[in-house]
Amino acid sequence: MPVPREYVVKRLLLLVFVVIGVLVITFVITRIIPARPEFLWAGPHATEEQLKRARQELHLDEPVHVQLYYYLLDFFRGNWGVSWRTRLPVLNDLLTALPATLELVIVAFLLASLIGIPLGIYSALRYGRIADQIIRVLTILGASVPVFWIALIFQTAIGIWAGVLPAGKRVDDYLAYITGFKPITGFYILDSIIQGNLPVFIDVLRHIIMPAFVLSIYPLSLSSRMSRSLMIEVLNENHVRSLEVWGVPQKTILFKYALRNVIVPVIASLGLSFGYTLVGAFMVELIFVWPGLGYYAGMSLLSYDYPAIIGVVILVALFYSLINLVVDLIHAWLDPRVRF
Amino acid sequence: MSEEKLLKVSELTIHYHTVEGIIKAVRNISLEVNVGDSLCIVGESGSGKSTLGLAISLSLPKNAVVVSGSILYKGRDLLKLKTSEVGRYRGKEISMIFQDPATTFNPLFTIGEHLTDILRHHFGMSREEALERAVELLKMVRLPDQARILHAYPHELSGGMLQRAAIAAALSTNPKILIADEPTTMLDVTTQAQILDLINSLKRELNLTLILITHNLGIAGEVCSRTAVMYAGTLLEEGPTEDIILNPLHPYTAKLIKAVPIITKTQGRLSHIPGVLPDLRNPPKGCPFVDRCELATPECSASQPEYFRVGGVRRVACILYGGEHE
Ligand SMILES: Nc1ncnc2c1ncn2[C@@H]1O[C@H](COP(=O)(O)OP(=O)(O)OP(=O)(O)O)[C@@H](O)[C@H]1O
Ligand code: SF4
Ligand SMILES: [Mg+2]
Repeated sequence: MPVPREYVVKRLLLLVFVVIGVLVITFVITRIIPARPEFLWAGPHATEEQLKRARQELHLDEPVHVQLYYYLLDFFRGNWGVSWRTRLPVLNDLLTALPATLELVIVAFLLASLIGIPLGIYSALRYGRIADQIIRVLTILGASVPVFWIALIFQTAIGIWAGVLPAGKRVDDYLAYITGFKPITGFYILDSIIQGNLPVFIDVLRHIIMPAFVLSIYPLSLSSRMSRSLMIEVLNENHVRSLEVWGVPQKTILFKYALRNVIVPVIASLGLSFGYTLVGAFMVELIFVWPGLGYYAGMSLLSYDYPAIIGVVILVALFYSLINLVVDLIHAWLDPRVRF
Repeated sequence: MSEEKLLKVSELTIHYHTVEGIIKAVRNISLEVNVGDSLCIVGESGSGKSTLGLAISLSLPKNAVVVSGSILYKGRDLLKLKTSEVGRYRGKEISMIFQDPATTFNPLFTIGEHLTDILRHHFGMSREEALERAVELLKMVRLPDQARILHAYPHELSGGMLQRAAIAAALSTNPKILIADEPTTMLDVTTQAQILDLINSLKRELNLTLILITHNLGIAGEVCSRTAVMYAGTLLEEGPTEDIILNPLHPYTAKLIKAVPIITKTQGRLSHIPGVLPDLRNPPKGCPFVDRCELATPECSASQPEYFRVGGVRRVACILYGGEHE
């Protein structure tokens, strides 16, 4: 089903309003929380005079709506303010941290669909057998155990006790230094491939596999459970029976016809679980010292770094809406029944 | 009888295993069908018609168990086929269409995709050859605008068009027997008549043998030369359709005909007989109709009535006809 262009434009406009809405709400909330950010700006030993100047520079004495006005004005000029903690433009900080998070989330989603869907289908085809039971128990656990807990267990067991994989960070700094590795896109897997740097490529994979797997456990369990129940359902559908009666081989029925009935809704709901996974990514990043948005957000929260916090929230809202749009478009493309 | 039957079902019994118990869906059914015959299987919902049809088309659900009996097709027992042989009969010799055309095709694939996959598998055609043949098939079922229909997804077509496409799919392999399981129940009255006409004329053109499942004696009257009446998994009576409608022998058939005042109307469900259907997990030992029969005697509950021949071409399972023993 081809997607009409007006529909995409409408969705993009909607996205702008969502982002502005999120911006206003976060801005107001950060200003309502009682805290004294001027101390952070002016430093711990600031004089009364310096604090007063800080309050002026930060427009802290103005009413909230005037502060919001200044912020919006700058925001649309591409100036998302300066982080009170790092003293760098927030947008720069965010754009540095973003690829790290995206790389983590993308690998996690790849693992979730490439492992989860086949696992669920296998489980459905072994319905009621021992393999099915084991997969069911594991995926129920995977969908209910909190991600930070799994992260800590994995980090301790595999990263520290067994020492098989690095317990944190994206790449070994020393290795990166001696091999002359330079981040270009910020996606290290991509960067190491572009530079043909095999040692760093392997090292980056070794760093990302554990946090990405931990992060994928929830969407993996979700997609496996969904694939399983969808497959069981689809195999009872009339259209599977009619292909069978008409003599189409089981292989074709399963892996051409039924498979699509399973994959389409699973992909759609994986996309919708993106928000949840992003929250998970924040915790995984804090635990695995992964210099992404989550790590940045955590540090900013601890230091009342309002511009940074607002920046993170807006970026997340933007991404969440974009992903939703992309998922809807993919869904429409795969399912001819979707109407606009 | 020297001439070999095309299809001979003997003492077939089929159970479904479910969490609530074992459902005895088909019990001790025997039927014969000659080349070019048209047999209607009539019965209320749950009487086991579809189960019988699926058994003949080698497509029983996984939880079905054939307890006993045989289904001879050209002398070969379909129930004893090796897995590797099933493909030579299923869809190829015996094909089937179903009640709900809206769910007959996979919603994510075009009609053309379905048709070409069947053709390519059965005849090893290339994609282009299969598409060409698919166009012919759609012409055969009187669908206009074949190219559009090949590219259409199921939800873009009406029930009548889909049922025609399903007939095209079922007949694409040149089967000898077509089983049509309530093919018009979900359609509106005009479309019903058109589909029945189509089935009738295709039957003649292709020299098909037809088994039409319906709960509507009116349809039986229009399409089939012979009719078998099923009730609670058993076959109550069988004979020429005209005789059965004009002069029903079994008390159940008689009630069926009285219950539907205008039986030639293609609509009208057979659900107006007082009393309830027996529980198929634990069906009565004797005549299955005993609880609802006004003529019942204690003898009726003792054991399942045998078939009695009436007038040479009819048989009926009711002790009232005990005089003319088979
Ligand atoms: N896959 C199945 N598993 C368990 N029970 C089944 C299954 N299919 C059918 N049954 C049961 O077997 C009995 C006979 O069903 P069947 O579908 O053969 O009846 P039918 O005469 O075709 O009815 P209808 O007119 O409603 O199509 C019913 O009680 C039904 O509930
Ligand atoms: S066998 Fe007895 S109960 Fe059954 S239909 Fe005949 S008379 Fe009625
Ligand atoms: Mg049925």
